[in-house]
Amino acid sequence: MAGLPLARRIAAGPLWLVPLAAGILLILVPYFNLEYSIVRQLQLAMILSLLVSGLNLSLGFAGELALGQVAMYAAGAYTAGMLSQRGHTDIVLQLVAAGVAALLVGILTGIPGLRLGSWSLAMTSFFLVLLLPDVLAIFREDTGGRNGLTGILSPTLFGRMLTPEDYFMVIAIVTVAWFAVMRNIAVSRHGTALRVLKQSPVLAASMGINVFRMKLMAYALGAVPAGLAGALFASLDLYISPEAFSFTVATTILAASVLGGSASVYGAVFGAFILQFGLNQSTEFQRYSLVVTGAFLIIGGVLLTGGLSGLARSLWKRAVGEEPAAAADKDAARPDEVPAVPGKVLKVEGVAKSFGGNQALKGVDLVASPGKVTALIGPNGSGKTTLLNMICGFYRTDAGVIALDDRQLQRMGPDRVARTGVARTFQTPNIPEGITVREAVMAGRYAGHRATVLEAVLRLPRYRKVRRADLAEADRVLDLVGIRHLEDAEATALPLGQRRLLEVARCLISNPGVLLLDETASGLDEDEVERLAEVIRRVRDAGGTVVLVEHNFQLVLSLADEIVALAHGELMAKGTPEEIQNNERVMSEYLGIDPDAPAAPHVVLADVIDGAQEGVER
Amino acid sequence: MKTRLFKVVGGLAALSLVAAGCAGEDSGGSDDEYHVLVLGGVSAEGVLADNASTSVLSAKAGVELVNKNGGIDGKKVTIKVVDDQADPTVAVTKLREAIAKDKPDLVLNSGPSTVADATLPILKQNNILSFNIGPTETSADPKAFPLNFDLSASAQNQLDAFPPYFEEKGYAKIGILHGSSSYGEVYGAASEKTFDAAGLDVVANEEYDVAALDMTAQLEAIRSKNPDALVLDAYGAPLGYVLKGVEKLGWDIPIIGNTSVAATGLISTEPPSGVLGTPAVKNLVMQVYKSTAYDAAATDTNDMVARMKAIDPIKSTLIVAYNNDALALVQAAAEKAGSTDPKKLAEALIDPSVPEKATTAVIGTYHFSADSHAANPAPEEFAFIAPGPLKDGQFQ
Amino acid sequence: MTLIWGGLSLGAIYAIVAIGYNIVFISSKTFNFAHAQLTMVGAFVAYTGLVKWHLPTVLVLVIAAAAVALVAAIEERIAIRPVGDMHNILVTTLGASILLDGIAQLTWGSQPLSVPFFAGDKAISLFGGRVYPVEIFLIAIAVLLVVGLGFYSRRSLTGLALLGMAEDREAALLRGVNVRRLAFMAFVAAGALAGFVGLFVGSKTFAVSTLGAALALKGFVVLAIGGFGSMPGTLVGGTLVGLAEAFASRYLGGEYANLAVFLILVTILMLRPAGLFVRTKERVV
Repeated sequence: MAGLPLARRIAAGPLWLVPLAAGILLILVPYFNLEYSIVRQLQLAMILSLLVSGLNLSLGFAGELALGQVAMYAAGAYTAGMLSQRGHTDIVLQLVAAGVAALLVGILTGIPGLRLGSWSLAMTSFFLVLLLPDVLAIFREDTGGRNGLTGILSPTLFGRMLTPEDYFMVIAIVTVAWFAVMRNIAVSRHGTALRVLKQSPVLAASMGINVFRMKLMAYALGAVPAGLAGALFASLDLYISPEAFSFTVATTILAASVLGGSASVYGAVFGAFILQFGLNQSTEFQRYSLVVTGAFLIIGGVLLTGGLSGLARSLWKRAVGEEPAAAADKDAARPDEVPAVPGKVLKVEGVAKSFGGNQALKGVDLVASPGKVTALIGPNGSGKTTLLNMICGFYRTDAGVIALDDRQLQRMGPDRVARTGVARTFQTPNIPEGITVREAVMAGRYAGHRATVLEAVLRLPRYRKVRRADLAEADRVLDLVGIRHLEDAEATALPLGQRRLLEVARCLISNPGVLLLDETASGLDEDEVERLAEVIRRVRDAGGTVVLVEHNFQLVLSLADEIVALAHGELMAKGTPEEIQNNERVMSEYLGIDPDAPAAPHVVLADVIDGAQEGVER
Repeated sequence: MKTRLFKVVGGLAALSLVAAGCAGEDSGGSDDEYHVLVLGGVSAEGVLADNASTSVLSAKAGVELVNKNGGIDGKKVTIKVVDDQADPTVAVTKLREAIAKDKPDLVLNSGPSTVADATLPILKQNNILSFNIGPTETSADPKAFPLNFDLSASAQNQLDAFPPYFEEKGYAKIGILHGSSSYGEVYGAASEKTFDAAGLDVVANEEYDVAALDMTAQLEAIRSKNPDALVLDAYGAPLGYVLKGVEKLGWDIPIIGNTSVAATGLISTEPPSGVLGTPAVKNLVMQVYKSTAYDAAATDTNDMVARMKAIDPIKSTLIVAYNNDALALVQAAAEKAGSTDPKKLAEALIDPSVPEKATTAVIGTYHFSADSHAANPAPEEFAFIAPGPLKDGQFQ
Repeated sequence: MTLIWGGLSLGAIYAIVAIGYNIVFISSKTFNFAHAQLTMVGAFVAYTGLVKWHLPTVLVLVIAAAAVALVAAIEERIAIRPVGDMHNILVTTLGASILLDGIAQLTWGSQPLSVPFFAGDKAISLFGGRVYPVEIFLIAIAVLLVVGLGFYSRRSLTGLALLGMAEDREAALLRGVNVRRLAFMAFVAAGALAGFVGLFVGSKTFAVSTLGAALALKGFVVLAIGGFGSMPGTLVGGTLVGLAEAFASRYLGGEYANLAVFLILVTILMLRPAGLFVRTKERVV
């Protein structure tokens, strides 16, 4: 470790020290005798950064575009303002009430928006902002309508009036505290789960994560800082009007989020400060301010892909040096003993499904038992993937039963299916960006072993216990698939073969009753296929139930204990590798061998397989 | 956990440390100059910008007048213009900034009432004399803001001039159409109350969204109630939509526009770029100050126009040129009080002789009193005129 | 009936803006925040051509289309092409819209300017309602655009390529479609369209620097109701929004116009999450 450059040594230390130092500096600003204008800008920038941080939770982490921050901001501000009007000036009380009010608005508006999926949340939250002035006008008795709410009293803390300097500190402390909370969420298992969700809701569901609840959590949780910001703003200016919560503010928040980097914790601060200070400067140009603002947003958007924090991260990486080369050391130590993987019996009976008029599956049966590898083969369009998706709960069955041991799965949603014990990999490995191999694998335990967000934020004992188990289990399964030496590498940077192994590990960590592998060997070279086959054998030997959907016939023959062949949505053949190999129909339909040709099938099989493999790999 | 706790504890400790800390008082105005700060939305969006520029221009003209006549209590008046974008948050920022740097003696707030709502508490806190154009619910209340004076006629003042006019014309059933702006809301409510009190029959009171592009629906709703005349609050493009809608409906009804209508360029511009002289405005009259219609005999007004023109072109009507009057009022008040102390000036301003004496141009005589710091111009200060071409901020 | 004409013509304007959003959305899956501002610039150019330069209407239409197409081309080059990230495009096109607002305000001032209409500005009676000629033209333009674009996309090679791109960009690329060039052309075409309709829109709404913002929001709502990428959806969405605004203003009061539109939007999204004319796909993996 001696020769490391300084940056690397800092990187090795606790990274939260830097933001913490910045936070303390911010809290102490009133001692620096700064010019008033700068102090005021700092206050507004902190309030803006709270808003941006809330948006980041849903946009950057959960991948859901929402513009409703402004409505929650307004909810917080009006709650605090109306409390203050009635004499409740304690800032702590106001903050709490504003946070709760905003949370309620978040939940109430999030439920319909998220239920509907796709763009609905963006739409409904966008409209929420447009409706705000109308709603405030309709309740003008309490809100002052478009004329704004006046008569807000100066804030107090425990009965003592706060001076402007005190109040600056209050804002700074709330901001720093929120970012500590936000950071704790982001680096916790919940942060990883959110990234999984952003990567793909399908992936999240297949890992047992309830997509709707997770998105709602991110959106509603993002309401809290907005509510706090609202309360802080109301007591800062002692006057609020619908103008402070206009669509322009919504776009400013969005711009700050994107410029700072939506998928980062502290990007919100950068983005907010740039917009607050940058845009304010542009008012010096007076009549050109619109032009300057517009140009500023264009230039910022063009230059900063991934946001400022993305830029900072890549610079940081360059300073610290390259990640340890991922594929360098191939042979890591493997444990001799493999712990048991308790598999369950997967039973599919008479399952049928049609899309429109197209009958994709017509009464398919399949049984996969523990300690066995069951392969599902068939030409393109034979219904393999459809069957796989039905088992996982992504499609509803038209008829038939799917069961894991005694539990019927066909009526469950994908996340419940996954929690019941079905784990799967994807044809194209589905791995979230920006997390390490270890985190990616640990995410597999998210749904099965719970710890609430509050426990994560406060780092309570239960969270710590779950976290310790997460780490230990990750080590175990990474050992099992043989990529433990890569656990600190960035997951998406791994070569294809290792990403496949990572997916297997992610499945295994949830102790699945059945492991579904979708085209897991496609695109791999011979070495990689062999390592994968080795892993599958270990899982089988440890007692796992493995279902292999595969085009690579050679791999299927060498691994499978039983093979199920589909054609045109129907069961074509079922049996041991030898039986399938000798089945003329399978050979002709699947591999295109003419049964009437002179040579016996298995004589030329090797050549045929090579040909088939090339054809498949496109 | 440790991190977070540390932050909170550290923060609280720091908080208690400053408990005794306090900013030093800045005693502005002790030198030989009298500092005037003008807040205006020079870079605001849309029509607000032109209004702001006229307000600022009138302030400059007022300074020129006052300095020519010996300054305020012998002090030379200096002026500083601050662009608040007509945005309350920006206004608060810039005002606090200006106070911290160099405390002004007088603040002229030319923005909308939302800006006034946001800035008045700060001005009060700092004991600064201020004049305000956009009235709020409490801005003219001496108990709430003892050092602030409203220059503009309140919606009420303007409306008080309506019933005599209606009587003269024989209108008994009145329809009201107003915008969804903060002023529009107040105007809509106040006009109904005033007309009701005057024994008129308000048959309809409709609102339109200021961002909407068509008001035919509201007009139809009003027409169905068969009023004799339509009182209209509209400004900028919405005014055009209303006039188009009336014409489209083929509705032959007298329309009485408020001062916002008069301030819209469209009705004082001839076709093709405006509607002056077209059938769309044939039934339109609008309420203006007498000073907004050109009168060769009004020397104070004509003198102000000359001063303003010499500095910059006048972009909108003189209705918003109040700041000239503010400076004239302060000068007269300082003469009476013999001081520039804000409290003494405020006392002098409520003495009827002071506004009487001041050479104000927009409103002939302001009527501040101990109970109300509103301008309260008499109904005779207003006139109802048909649209005409606008020259130097006056209808010809 | 007058009310219905008013609602329909307003809806037609929203639909025309939504069509512009759609052309860009179909060709490049991006959302051009600034499209409504392009329409606004078209209205201003029409004003300048007709009122300041006294040019004939046909020439003004050509000039406005060309000028706004140029503005759109510049926007594509500086605010969309160099941007890699989808989210960033939201920011840059938002920037472009603010920039255009600012430039329009500097060039043409902030007072509304009336744009004369060649077919006269006398209201006429039609089917028992009063209506301006320009309003009938607006409704006709919206309908013709949707029909014409539908026809074009199915019959011409370029149109088919565009549809293919909308379906699967990668596949279109593999089949030799110059995706980038086509997206650029579509963007410029949307700009030319905005310039062309500027005269008609401006005749109804005046050329005013706040027009862009007013159109952008409603155009977006229309798009959401009809479904992203659906041309017929813009007509239905426009009609719904226009009529809802008109009837809510007439019978409930102006404060309820937006609320009524919101209720319609939520109801439709409840029934059809992707909008009226777009199917949600079941296949996920």
